[in-house]
Amino acid sequence: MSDAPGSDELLMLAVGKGDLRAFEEIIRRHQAWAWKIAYRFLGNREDAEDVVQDAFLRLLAASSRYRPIASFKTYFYRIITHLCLDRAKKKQSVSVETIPDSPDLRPGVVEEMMRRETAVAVRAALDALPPTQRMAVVLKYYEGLDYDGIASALQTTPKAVERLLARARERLRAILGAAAINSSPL
Amino acid sequence: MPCRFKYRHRLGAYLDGELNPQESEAIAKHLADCATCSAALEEIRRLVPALLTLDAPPLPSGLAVRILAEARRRTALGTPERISVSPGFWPPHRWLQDLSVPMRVAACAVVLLAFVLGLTMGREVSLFGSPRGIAPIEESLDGFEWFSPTPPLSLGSAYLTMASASRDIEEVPQ
Repeated sequence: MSDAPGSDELLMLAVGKGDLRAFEEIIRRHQAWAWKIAYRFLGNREDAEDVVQDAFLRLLAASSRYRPIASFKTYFYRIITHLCLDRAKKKQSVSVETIPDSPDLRPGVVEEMMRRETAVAVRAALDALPPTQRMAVVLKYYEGLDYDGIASALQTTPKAVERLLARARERLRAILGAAAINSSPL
Repeated sequence: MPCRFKYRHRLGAYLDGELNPQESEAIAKHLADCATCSAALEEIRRLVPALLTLDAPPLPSGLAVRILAEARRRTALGTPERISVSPGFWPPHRWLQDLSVPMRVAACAVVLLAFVLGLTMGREVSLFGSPRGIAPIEESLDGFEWFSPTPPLSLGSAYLTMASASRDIEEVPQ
């Protein structure tokens, strides 16, 4: 954790004392990545927005008990992942938003269409994964966390993360098939 | 024929750089000789750019404003019980919530004990509840005035003196 002036941890301690301006700064700094995790995991804007809002409000409610023993981001990853998994349990079928297509004949349009098709296939494949595997994939490939970081967010062990990712990759390869994987840009 | 290499299931972790040097070295050596495992590793590698085609839409506009508005509304309502509006504000039950369960029980026991003691001692110092009870207590505490419920120079003692004086005045025959 950092105790530098203006660090997330110090801001959180201020939030715990009732400083809503510190809370505003926390939101400003972390809303973008929180949104990306929630959206990539849930595949739905409305649900993702609800989860992000809920996560920050929970952060506020727990702020007086916050102790800066780990980095703020690790702490917030736990809240976000917990809320996402909870939402996935309550809502079995995830609605997939399709990216609207607009006819465009400019150069590169074929590549762009192929990329979109792959993205839609990836979305469907992610939604077919069990929630914990899906979250492990989101944290690994989109957030770039290492196994320790993922284990901390999911409150499990790095060994369990390795197994989750191995199963998830196997399933993704089976669902996506060689065509989708090979057509994606390298 | 499928490869039975013992680290085959760990190719993903190898690619992620999560293995120890001995394991990594064993896999690297094996990959140099095994086309099946090399192909499997390549498939895992190619999965990454496919996954990265999935973008997240931009942050919804006004999300922070909505979160803050909700936070202010809840703070004003006191919904998140542990939030104070200003640093000086301290909700009355907050000290109790911050204690562990055994400490909460102990705090409740202290409050209860103080209440019972207050009742008992209140009866002893009351002139009107037990008009004849004062003299025997004073006698029995002879030499131990500071252990009495109304030690000399205490508020209780002053109260008793004042109350006795006013009763004497009331009892004077008109």
